[in-house]
Amino acid sequence: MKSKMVKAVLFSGAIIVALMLSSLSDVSYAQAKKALPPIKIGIVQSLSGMVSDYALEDLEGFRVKIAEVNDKGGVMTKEGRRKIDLLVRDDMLKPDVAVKNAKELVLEQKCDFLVGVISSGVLLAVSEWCKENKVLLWGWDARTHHATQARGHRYFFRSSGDTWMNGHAAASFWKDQPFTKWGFINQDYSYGRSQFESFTIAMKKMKPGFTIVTEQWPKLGSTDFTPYITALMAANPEAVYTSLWGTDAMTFIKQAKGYGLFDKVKVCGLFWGMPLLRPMGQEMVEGVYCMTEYPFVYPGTPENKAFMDTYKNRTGQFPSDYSVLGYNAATFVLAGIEKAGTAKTEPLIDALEGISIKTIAPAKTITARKCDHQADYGIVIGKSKKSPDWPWFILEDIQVIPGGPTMRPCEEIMAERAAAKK
Amino acid sequence: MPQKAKKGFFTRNLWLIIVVAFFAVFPLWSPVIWKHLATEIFIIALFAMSLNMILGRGGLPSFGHACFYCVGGYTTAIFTMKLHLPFSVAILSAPVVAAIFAAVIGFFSVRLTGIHFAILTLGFSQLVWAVAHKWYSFTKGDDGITGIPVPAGLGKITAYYYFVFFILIICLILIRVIQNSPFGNTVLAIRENRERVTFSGLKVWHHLWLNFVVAGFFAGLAGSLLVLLNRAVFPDFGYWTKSAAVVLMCIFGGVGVFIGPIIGAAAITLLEHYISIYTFYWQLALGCLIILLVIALPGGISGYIQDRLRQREEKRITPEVG
Amino acid sequence: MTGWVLMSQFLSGLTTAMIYFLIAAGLTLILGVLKIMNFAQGGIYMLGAYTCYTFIKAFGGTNSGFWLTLIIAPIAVAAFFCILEALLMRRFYEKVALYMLLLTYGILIATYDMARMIWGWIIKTAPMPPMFQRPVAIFGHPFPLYNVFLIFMGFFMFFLIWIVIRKTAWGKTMRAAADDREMTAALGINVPLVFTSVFGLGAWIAAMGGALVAPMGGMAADMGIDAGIVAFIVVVIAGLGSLPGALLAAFICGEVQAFGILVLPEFAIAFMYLVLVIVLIVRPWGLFGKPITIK
Repeated sequence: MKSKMVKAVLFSGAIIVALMLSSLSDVSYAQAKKALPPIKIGIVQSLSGMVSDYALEDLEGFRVKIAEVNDKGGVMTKEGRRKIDLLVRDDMLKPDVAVKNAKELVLEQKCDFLVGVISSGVLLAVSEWCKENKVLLWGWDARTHHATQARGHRYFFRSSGDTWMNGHAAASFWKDQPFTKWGFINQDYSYGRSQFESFTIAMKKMKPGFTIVTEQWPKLGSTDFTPYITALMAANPEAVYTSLWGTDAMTFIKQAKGYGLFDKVKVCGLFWGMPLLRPMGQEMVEGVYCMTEYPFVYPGTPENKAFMDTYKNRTGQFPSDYSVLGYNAATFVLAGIEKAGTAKTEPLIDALEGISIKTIAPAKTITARKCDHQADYGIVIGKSKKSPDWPWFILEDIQVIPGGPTMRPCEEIMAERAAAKK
Repeated sequence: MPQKAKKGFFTRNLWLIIVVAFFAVFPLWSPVIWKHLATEIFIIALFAMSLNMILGRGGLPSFGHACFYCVGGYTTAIFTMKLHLPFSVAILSAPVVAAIFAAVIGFFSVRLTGIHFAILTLGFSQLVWAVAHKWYSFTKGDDGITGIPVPAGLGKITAYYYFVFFILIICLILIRVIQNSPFGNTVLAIRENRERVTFSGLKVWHHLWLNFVVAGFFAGLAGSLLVLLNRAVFPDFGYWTKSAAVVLMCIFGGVGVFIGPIIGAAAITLLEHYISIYTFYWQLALGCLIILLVIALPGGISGYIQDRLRQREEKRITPEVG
Repeated sequence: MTGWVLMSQFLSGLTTAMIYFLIAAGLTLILGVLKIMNFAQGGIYMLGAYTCYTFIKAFGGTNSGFWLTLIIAPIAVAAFFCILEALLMRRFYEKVALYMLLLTYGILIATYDMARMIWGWIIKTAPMPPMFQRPVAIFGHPFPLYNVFLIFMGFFMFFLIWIVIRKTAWGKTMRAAADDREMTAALGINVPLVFTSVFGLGAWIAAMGGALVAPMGGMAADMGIDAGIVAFIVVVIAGLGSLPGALLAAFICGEVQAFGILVLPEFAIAFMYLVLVIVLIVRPWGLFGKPITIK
């Protein structure tokens, strides 16, 4: 009996202590010293599940930039230099948890604005909440084009490319290749569907004779791709386009190897850059067309090298596409705060519209377009190849596809938004 | 035996009145996020109470209760967003539709007991989840339905808090009345000794089935209330881990006590909220918590408190043996 | 549709079926003898995969390293869970089913974070042993050799477990303890030890499943949660405790999924649950289970 009582007391004690600690955090900030209060950025990210290592890289890239600025004493505002504080919450890949996190960060922790989201499904839910509550949300990764097109609004910006741009970029390369019969394999959720939509819409416009011979929709996290692979091959495509990522991409490649898929068809994988090549190591296949925003050794500019070194010193790892996404997002918001002189929502948004920043690779600058708050982030395509210098494959024959021309024209977006309102 | 003076209504239920009064004035001084949390806890408490009708009173381990929660939520969402029906219709139809699902699922399930009952309810609820997850044209699949409008009067959290609080009180009274009625007592008797009830001529299956349907009704209502709080619904509402979570809440709070599930719902919701703030390994923390709970406190918090109270009562009554 | 298309889809379904069987076989054994629904089975599978990854890498990715891994890794994981069972689970066998369900659920989600803490958050894949890296030709079409190996291992494991349960003294003791715990104890047999050994065997099978799957693709800590629900479906359709039933049910699920993809791609997942529900309505004790009386 006694041990049970002890346990019960410990439980209730733990709850009370936790509650007290959380309210304490506000108190210590209230007792701020003469220094200016820090700018609090709330970060909502999916740190659990299949996507967690990419999510962490977004975060680390962001942190690298923030650390650079904090080392100088903070970002310059009208009142003087203010440091940046980051409060990170795990949305567990669940939209309702993400909304809860947003509420807690903004209403309880008094964050000035929010950054984040890697999952497209989560993005739409959080973006909705931010629109209703007039909170700025800076999107650093989640790509569904609906978030800046039909469901876009004043309070959401995005620095990564969106699915519309990705698909049109791919089509701008593949329209010049002689393949018309395409097979598709994508994960069955909003991201996979958006990528499929945008590539097929673009190819229909740009490539005469384009046909979809098969679509495969494995669910996220499938251990076994063999039935999808055999169905894919049975339709005899000339080329295969896929947006599979993470463990699904790895499983697909490993299993498809055994069926000889890569010898029979050309395969184009979206975002098959470092995040895939690095864990695959020598298990990867040569001659696969990989599209990525950050080709590891290219372009070999001094800025790229400097970033690689800083990132490696801080985290012990080489950066990947995701690290750059985080870094760019931080660069954008900091530039906006400096231009507006404040972190208050409305002036900050006005400052961010149309703002340009310098980036590492592949383009020199990117701009957050005024009409839809989407940045014109580009992408590259290259072929995978073994490398004697690295334990993972690298890309050769790299072609850069700039972001601007792949974006949807503003008039179309505004028309779609107006139609949606009816 | 020493006589206990008959206490008046107010003195007997003093603690209840204090708690109700506390929550009635709570929104007047608390910060916004606490109002959100409290409203969410009310809703989840209703969900847990509905499960306990089957689990605690009925003695049937349902591992698919989230199904009705999910159906209720989607009904409200689809009625408002797709069919553009008025709010009152949407919120009243949700529990009815959930009850219909419960009627069908219960029809096949309540003739089983124990692990077979658990498995069948789990299977049905996963089927409903799979359909919600896949039927993109109807339910928008894993994107969920977002941006659900709420009538102007309930837009502010304080107003919605009182709305939910009011509904919760009414539902609790209803559940209490049902459980203390002859119907409810029969259900309890069935849990204790099925055969005897059969011999007494009462129809076991009918009682369990009706109990299941009523429980589904309240779960559907809870689902629709949550949807209106968060303005969104997702297939996750019906995933088996949600069913496991609400079973956990009932056990944590204590299945044998009327308010047990409410305590469990509050405790688990608060823990989840605060654990994930302090560590990214919240599932390890939750897992350990569950393990400790099952080992140390099988009666749940309220069971434990009841034990202690009873022990003290017994010490008082038993005369000193010289 | 050509013959090869149907044949390749069939073989793919068979591969999937074997994976399902390996996860489910341990679970059905535990269910049949210990009468508990072990939610943690998916977690054991996942840890089997991760442990295999560590050992394969430690042995340098060689063929002999792979065989050694298959011997060592599942035993290591099973041993760990035997200890867990002895410490935490023993007292709950005779109690209400609900507590055991919650306990194993708690263990499942704890293992998820454990894996992330030990192996980190980055996705991984176990290198494919060199001997399996070339495809084999079936009717002139390439087919992954490793899949052939997996299918073979599935059947091998089935026969191995079958022999253990039916023909060995250990197996007889298991079945005795399952049927009548008190009588078995009265005969002087240490029933808790028997139960632990059964749990260990069930865990070993799941861990072996994970280890075999590891070189086939990427692994993330949450692979256990999905695998668990698949195991559950297979076991229930099969009938609690029936090993041949598990093989048949796994086969049904694997082929339904493989051909479902050809016919109605969007609803492939829902098919499995539909089969589950139909079986449960018509024969709630599963295809091969012992019929229970329904009042």
